Amino acid sequence: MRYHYLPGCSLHGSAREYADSFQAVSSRLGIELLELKDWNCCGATAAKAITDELPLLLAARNLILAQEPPGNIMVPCNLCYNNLAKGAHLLKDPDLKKKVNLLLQPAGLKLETEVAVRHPLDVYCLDIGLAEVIARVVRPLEGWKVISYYGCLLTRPKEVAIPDSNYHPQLLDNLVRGLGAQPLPFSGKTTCCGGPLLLTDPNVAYSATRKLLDEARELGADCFVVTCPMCHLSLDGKQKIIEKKYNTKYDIPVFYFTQLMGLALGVSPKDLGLKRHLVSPFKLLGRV
Amino acid sequence: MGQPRTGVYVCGCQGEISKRIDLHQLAATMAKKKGVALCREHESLCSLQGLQLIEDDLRSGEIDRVVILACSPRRHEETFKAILRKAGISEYLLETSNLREQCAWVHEEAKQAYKKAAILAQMSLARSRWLEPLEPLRFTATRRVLVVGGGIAGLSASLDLAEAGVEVVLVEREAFLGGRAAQLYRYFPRLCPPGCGIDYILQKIRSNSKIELTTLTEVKSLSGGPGNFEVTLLQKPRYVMPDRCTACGNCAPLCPADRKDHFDFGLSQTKAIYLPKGFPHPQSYVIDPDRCLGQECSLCRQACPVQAIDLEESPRERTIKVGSIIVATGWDPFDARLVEQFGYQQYPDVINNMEFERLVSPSGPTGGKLVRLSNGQPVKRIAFIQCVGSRDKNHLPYCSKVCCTVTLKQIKYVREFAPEAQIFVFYMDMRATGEYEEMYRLAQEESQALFIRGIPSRVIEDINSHDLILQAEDTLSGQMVKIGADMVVLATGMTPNQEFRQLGERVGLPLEMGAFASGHLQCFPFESRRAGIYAAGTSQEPMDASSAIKSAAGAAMKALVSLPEEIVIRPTVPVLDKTKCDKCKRCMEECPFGAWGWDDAGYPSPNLLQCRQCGICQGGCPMKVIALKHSTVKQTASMVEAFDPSFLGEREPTILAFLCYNDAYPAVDAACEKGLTYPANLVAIRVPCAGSLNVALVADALAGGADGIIVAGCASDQCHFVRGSDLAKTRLQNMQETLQRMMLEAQRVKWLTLNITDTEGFVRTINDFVAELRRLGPNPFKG
Amino acid sequence: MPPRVNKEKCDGCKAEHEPLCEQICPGDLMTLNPETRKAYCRSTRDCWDCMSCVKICPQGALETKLPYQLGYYPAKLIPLMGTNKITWTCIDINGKVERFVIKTRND
Repeated sequence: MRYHYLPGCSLHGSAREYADSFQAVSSRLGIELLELKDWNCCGATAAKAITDELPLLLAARNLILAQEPPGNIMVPCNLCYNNLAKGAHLLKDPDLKKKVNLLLQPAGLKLETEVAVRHPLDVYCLDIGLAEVIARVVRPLEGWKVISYYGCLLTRPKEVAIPDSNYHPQLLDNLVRGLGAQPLPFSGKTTCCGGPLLLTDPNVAYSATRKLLDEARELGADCFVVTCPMCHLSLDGKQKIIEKKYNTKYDIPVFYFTQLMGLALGVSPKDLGLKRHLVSPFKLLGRV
Repeated sequence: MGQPRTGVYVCGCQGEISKRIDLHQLAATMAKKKGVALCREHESLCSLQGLQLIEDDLRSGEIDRVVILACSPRRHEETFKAILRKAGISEYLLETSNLREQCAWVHEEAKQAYKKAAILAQMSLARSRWLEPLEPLRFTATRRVLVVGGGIAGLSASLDLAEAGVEVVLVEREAFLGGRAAQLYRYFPRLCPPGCGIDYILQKIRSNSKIELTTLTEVKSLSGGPGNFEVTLLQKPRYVMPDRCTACGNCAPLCPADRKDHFDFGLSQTKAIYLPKGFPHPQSYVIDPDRCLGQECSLCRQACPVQAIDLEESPRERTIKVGSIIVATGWDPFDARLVEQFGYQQYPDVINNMEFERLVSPSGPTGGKLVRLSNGQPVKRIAFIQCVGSRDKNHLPYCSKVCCTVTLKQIKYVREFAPEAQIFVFYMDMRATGEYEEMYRLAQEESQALFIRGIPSRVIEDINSHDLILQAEDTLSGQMVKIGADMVVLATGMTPNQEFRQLGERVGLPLEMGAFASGHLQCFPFESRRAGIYAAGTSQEPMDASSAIKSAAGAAMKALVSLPEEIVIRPTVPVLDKTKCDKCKRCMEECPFGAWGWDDAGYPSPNLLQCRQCGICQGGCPMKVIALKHSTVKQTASMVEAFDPSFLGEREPTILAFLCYNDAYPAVDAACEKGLTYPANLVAIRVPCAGSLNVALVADALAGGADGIIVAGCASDQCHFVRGSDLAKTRLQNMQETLQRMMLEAQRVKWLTLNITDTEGFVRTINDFVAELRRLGPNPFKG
Repeated sequence: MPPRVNKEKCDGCKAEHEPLCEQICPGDLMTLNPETRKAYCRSTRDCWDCMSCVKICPQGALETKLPYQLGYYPAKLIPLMGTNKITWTCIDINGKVERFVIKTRND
């Protein structure tokens, strides 16, 4: 199976470990990744504040580049995924498509075919199949109590979300269970982590992230598993700041789901970028 | 037939017409025409003397039909028709010509107005030769009504009809009567038990011999029209013989199979053999065939002391004839699973308002104790969330009217069962109309419920305690509110019953926007799109119990109206000439009301009671074998032939317009009221619907030399006959394409959408059209 | 020369199994194509240009081509059906237009 892949601004930079683990797991599962040539910023953040059209045009350009065979695109970051999938959905309207093509004409670009926009979680569980993934598990994560955190952008709106419930999704929980761990029932599965406000109003962001960390601690969780670099940044990158601000302690490591998959599938921890986390995950690794 | 002896009457309309048009000359010209037995002038034909004049002439036998040149037919056609009837002549031997609203009052130049009047008179005379003495058609009616649904609206309507002396067949799908009202604990505002009211109605129904009541019965199919519907009913098997069953209850404890009791919304269980809750009718046990283990078990049969069990019973069908039908199939609560954030059916203590009724009912899942469904503990804190699913563009866009008052009632329940409990109500707007306002005041002052104006974003459950946490913004104080509750009641709205939707599909009952049956709200609230079928209660729209009873009385009244001993319809019906019919069935396909069926010889045949007399069939018939009586193709063709395209002189273009009588003709009539004038180049012919115009008539008009032709009708979504305007437009477009191939300017034939208020648009179009025709030059067929 | 069906205007007589052109053609040459649900001429060489189909089509979707002896491709012969008359328009190969109105006498 071949997929185009859009790393977005973070996977080559601050979320390197997501990129590494994503590539390792994909190759284990027989997926060939082709990084989209000359991809541009997805437009999910600052572009929205400029005009209504700009995020759509940025998304359209990526979709146009992805039209080349295999005609699909896997997007690991939830923000990029949401913006790109929304763009693809809106561009199904022939009038809008015509308008966008007109605007992109000076760049010599034209959107013709429909491009399937996918998230790796949904590709692994549905295209490869959860059963196939489970069959390849060599080091089950037994006894791990994991909070499956989907983030706010993966399961809504229904037209562009992965095929799962908006507020009570199960896909990641099923994957975690399949890897041998125990997913805990968590009320904040799809509650926003506050990530987008980290630069503009960090206090609001921290108070949102804090609610998730509090509940996780109350449930006695061993770790979080996330699907998005921004969620990872809020929960892991800012955990120590939140601890200091609210004078409390969490010490809950945060894994990307590809890292958990990698551990279970027998990939060496060195290749999963675990050293780049701010909250050390290594104490859990002893259990594997 | 003999030669027609036409009496032509020219009315000066108290000077209104005579001031512009020389009526003496007109009368003199008309008197000399062939077939005119006499021609009279009068200043006011609609006055008593004028009418007497016509009546005397008719009675004398000198004339056998009347042509009246006067005001618009919309003003006085009925007056003149009445005179013909009084004189013993068919009222359809009357032809009127509009010399006032569409001539004298709108054309300033007297000579042109005269020429137009002369042409109009000539056309009317030509048509009058083809008039036929039609009499109204009579049919015997079946004086019986079918009521579908044994809830409070259906029961009430049946009783109203029976007391008016009409036979009623009442069918109910379930094994019990009372519908949703039977599931309630109490009614508002007086908190009386529904049992009281329903029992009372049932007593009266049982003692009224005019009502035939069967339960476990559904409508399988129906056909026909008002006064003569044929309905096939399907009675599902009970598997227990009601006349033997004493409801002793020996069978149930032995039954090994369980079923979810849908009377309690699945919150409780019964055995597969059970006595229905509510008001079972008859008082007998029922077996659920989906859960029963069948013959191999037969434990109930062995236990029954009176051998009432018949496991081999099969469904029964029968067909009845009724005159009209009332649909009272009721409502279902909105499925709160669609509003995922409240955790309905994810968390056991989140329930909807109907389930709450069951919870506090003595016959309900907890025996009437207000306890939590998760752990059986008493409820100490309860929260109500209003408008769940309603007023939401993603779900139900409308307001379900009753949910606010239901919550106020349920607050009283909480005080009855848990006097110390904390009550929170999260709302957007509290809608407690009329005397229910008192309930709102009491809920706050006596019941001490706390009202928070803000809907929670989510309901979250604490895993260990199953406590529910709600967080909302109180928009009145601007503060965030976070509360914990033992139980959350979602005030869900009303949607029409699924059964109703399926019934609608089976019988071809189109549903309106909100998926309810009600017709045009101001004009025809009880009627559905299908004539003779009326809606009562919540099939119509969301409403409370007292409104349902009122609505039932209204529907009963309407149903009664279509039940005379005899049905009399106007004779302006379509008639098929079988000698030339090709059986192409285009009439059947294009009729918006499905009024065409087959006769024994395989020819299309109209169901006259279902026909709405629009004439769309006549317009579409390629062989022109359908004649809509009193607006036949021949009659209109005679007018087209009598039209002289050079009536204003060699160089003036002339336009023949076919105007639909519903919107276009009145719009043109209104020109005088608005003080507008337009050129006399336009001569109008009225048609019942733009769709009733056969394009052969447009071809005739072109071949006859008319320079321009207009076909005008209502806007597409406002056509009184649903499809008439659209069909007329398409037929004209096809013709225009042929005209282009024929090297004839297609612009000569125009479709015009005329709303009844669009007179200004009409005047502008005519002026532009006349100018355009001057540029195009005369029709090559002229002269 | 055989009739040509304008596929946009033809509605297959509401896709009945015998459209009007099939019912009227004296040579039994017109029929409905089961896939496209539109009319077509089954055997073009046998058509003798009676134009009954052209006259009866309620959508005006049929047009015959005149044989080369009479006028060839640019020439057209188009009937417009009235209630008791037919208006014929002849356009010859030079574009000259002539029109005739003939009363039908079968009432």
